Amino acid sequence: MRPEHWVYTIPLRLRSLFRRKQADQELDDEMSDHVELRTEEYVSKGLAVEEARRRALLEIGGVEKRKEECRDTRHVTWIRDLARDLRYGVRMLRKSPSFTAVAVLTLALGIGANTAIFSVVNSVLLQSLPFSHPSELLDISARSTYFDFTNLGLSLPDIADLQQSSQSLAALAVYQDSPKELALDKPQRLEATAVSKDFFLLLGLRSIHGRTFTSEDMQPGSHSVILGYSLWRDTFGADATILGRSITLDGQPHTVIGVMPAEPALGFATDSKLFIPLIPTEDQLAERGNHAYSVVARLRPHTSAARAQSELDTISARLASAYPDVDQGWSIHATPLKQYLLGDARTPLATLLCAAGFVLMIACANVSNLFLARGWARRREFTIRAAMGASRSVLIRQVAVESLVVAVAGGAFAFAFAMLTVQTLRSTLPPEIPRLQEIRIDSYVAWFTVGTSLLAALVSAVAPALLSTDGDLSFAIRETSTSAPARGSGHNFLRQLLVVGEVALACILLIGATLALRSFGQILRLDLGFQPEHLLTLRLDFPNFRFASTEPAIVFVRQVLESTRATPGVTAASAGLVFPMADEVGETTFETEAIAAEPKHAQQSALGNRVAPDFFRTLGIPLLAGRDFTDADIKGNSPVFVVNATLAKKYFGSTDVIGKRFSTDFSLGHPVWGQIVGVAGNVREANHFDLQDDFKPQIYAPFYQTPRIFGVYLVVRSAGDPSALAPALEERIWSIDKNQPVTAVATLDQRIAEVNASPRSQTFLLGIFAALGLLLALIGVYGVMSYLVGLQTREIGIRMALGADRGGILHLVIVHGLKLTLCGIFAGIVIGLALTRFMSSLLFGVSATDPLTYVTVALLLLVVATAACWIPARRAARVDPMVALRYE
Amino acid sequence: MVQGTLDMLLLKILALEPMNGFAVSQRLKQVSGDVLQMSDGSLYPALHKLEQEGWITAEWMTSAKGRRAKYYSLTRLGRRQLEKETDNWGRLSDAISRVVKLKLKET
Repeated sequence: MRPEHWVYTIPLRLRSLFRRKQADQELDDEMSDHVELRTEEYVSKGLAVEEARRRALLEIGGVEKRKEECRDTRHVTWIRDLARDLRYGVRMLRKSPSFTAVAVLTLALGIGANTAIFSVVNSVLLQSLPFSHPSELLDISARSTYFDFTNLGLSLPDIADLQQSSQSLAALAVYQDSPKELALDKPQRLEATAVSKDFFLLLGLRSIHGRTFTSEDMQPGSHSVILGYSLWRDTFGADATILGRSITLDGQPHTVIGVMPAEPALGFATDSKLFIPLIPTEDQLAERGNHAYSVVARLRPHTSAARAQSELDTISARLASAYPDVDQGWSIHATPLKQYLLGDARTPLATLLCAAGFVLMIACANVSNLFLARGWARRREFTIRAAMGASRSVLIRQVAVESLVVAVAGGAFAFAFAMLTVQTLRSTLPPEIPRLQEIRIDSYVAWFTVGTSLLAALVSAVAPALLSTDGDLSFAIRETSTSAPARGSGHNFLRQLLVVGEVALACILLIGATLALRSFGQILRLDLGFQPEHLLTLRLDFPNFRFASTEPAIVFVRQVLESTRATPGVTAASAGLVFPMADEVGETTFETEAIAAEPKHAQQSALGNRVAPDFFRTLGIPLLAGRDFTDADIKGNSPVFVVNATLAKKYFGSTDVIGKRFSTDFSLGHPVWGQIVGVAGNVREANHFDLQDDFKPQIYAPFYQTPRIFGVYLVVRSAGDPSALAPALEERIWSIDKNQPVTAVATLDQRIAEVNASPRSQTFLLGIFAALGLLLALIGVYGVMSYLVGLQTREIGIRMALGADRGGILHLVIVHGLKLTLCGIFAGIVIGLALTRFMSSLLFGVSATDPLTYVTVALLLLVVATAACWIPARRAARVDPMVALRYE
Repeated sequence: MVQGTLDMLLLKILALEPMNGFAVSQRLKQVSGDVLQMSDGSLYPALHKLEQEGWITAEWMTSAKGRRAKYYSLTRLGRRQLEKETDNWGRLSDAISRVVKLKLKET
């Protein structure tokens, strides 16, 4: 029933709708024409005119009935009925504005919460990546049984083997972080990515000016560079004539050959400020152990990622047996690029969406209850309509239409609200969620709101539609009182069931929010192991082109530290390869004498850092035993170490480890022994809430003994506001070396706030949803208890006339309310226990089944429910028996 | 009357020439020799149904006697529908008559 069918039928339908009078007139004419013809026929057969006419009509069998049957074939009556129901529904809703306002607002809250969170899910998770055929793209990473990290790079020889033997990968591109220093008025260090020739081609990205890399650009000695959009706009004023111009990177002139378009921040190489060609040296091409290169690949069309993975398994097994000394223990893994980039955002967003869904369910239950109460008040209207011939389906449709009007109005408010708050939402969400700035209200969000509104209308309408229209005619017409009749019991049971459901949902929300809150509290209360106040950190990088060897860099750091310590306002200063709360952590392998003595032993892994003297005092890390490093701990002198308490206890059984032999240097094929000179307190690292266990073993070695150095963090303790020191410190660094970029200037407090931003926003949003849920459930309990008390007025009056005291009545009502609440709490806790398991990865220091949380939530709900029952109970207790008995 | 065959009969009659409802009723009686009984009452809903399906179309015309009447005629869609239903009917009646003519095999 295909287009041709519509050519005939659509005009007919439209005519039936909009030219109904004419259609009906024609139907009349047709029928009377028939009757006349038939009459003439009978007259010609000799019947009297009257008799002939009577027979003709008889054969038709009721002209009106037949006409109605003809009209029914038009299939448009339902539209007319719907329009009539709509008009009637809107009129009824306008007649009770407070009911309508409460119902619309309740649904607006529920739908609004969902629209808001969906707008995030839509932009962050559902939108495809801005590359061509993004579902074919894979991240290829390596894992090693020796290291704790999941996404390590590959080596160039391994990549070449992969490229040669893979059947399921159509192409792959190699890229590598390769920060560059740009000489401008101030020295700058920029995020740059070295990419293989086909990197942009593989992703399907085109330059907006100029071109991307070609084979000539990949020749050794080529100095081509492509600018990222943000650098082009911010530093070069979006100047299109930049093409062909020379800029100085790492002291070398480079020629700008292209500019890339603006892309949403994905935390991927495409965010880079600069792109340079990846031109490996002969050594790098041969170095199979150098796992320093990232790989993005494109699947052949109609090939699954799983197939690629099984192929990679075969290849990595072959590599491991061919090159056991370097590839043993390594495996290669393919992850769909989208999952690789956005996977971490899934759990927090799913949790929020789930919470928003619960808020909506509570809102629907409330609105359902409101409609039930109204349906009961309107049962006379329904009964009379039923008595006048309205079928049950007609009445159900009426209720459904009214709930639809309410839900659509609620949805409209919710959508308007979402439009207004999308900006606020962006700043409230965990900042590491990718594409946060992309969040907007688009047509998908609009459709989602429409869908959610319809769903809400349906859910809210089911119970009232079935119960309110279940009319026993004679009964309801006779019945005039509002007291509770026997028939109302099904009604009341359902209402109470809805309250139980609401309380259960609110309970789950509260449990989730409380767990998040307790977890965040744990994070804030956490003993970091150092004093973060009044600390400033700055990063200095020492690239090869300025520091070809380590000695000048060490000399430079010594000079900077001397100058920094002499700066007014500085109370202590030191330097380290990393610092607690830095983005990166160091890792090192070590052996103790006991481990080395075992016949089949493996080197142990620990966090590692190299620090200048005074590091522990500057950060406020207590030295539990032994001494700090000194200016005398330099290369040539025997290696010395400070270990943390965890390492000392784990490997030596006590903190009494001063003088023990220890090694982290295996470059000569055997351990180069040094000794432990101090034991430091444990400190937390930035990723501390990824770690469910306690502190990791940590080794500190003297910075001045470092064999190689690429950069260093200065840590500076100030008397006053640490951020005020930054300009003075930068000036002093530049007076020593005017080409030294200073990056990552931040106070430790700022760093900690960044690290905690994600759990903070998670807790905040879950808290809002839980508060909404609690409020709505409170309204629900209050509404139902008030209603039940209203129904029981007469019963209460009789009880009081028979001698029940006011306290007893109060007790009666509150106990009834609390029974419902307890049922809800019980259900909520059972479901909560099952559901919160899924958020355990978001929790730190709190188990998802934390008993304290569950007890607190149960008590809170009981208190709130008691308060909600209190007002109706007071009203019941104040019932005057005489008034109550005369109530009818 | 066999279920579903009414549509086919009406389409077949209208396929011969456009006519009004009364004429359809007369023709049906006349052709089937009063075997196929169809009340005037059920004729019009059936015709209206065919019209809403897009199989027949209606037009007001003035008859030879100067009377305005609603004339129904087959559409292209209706012609196709008629072919389909005639085919079905042919297959069905063949099958039925074969079953009816089955003879008991002598053993």
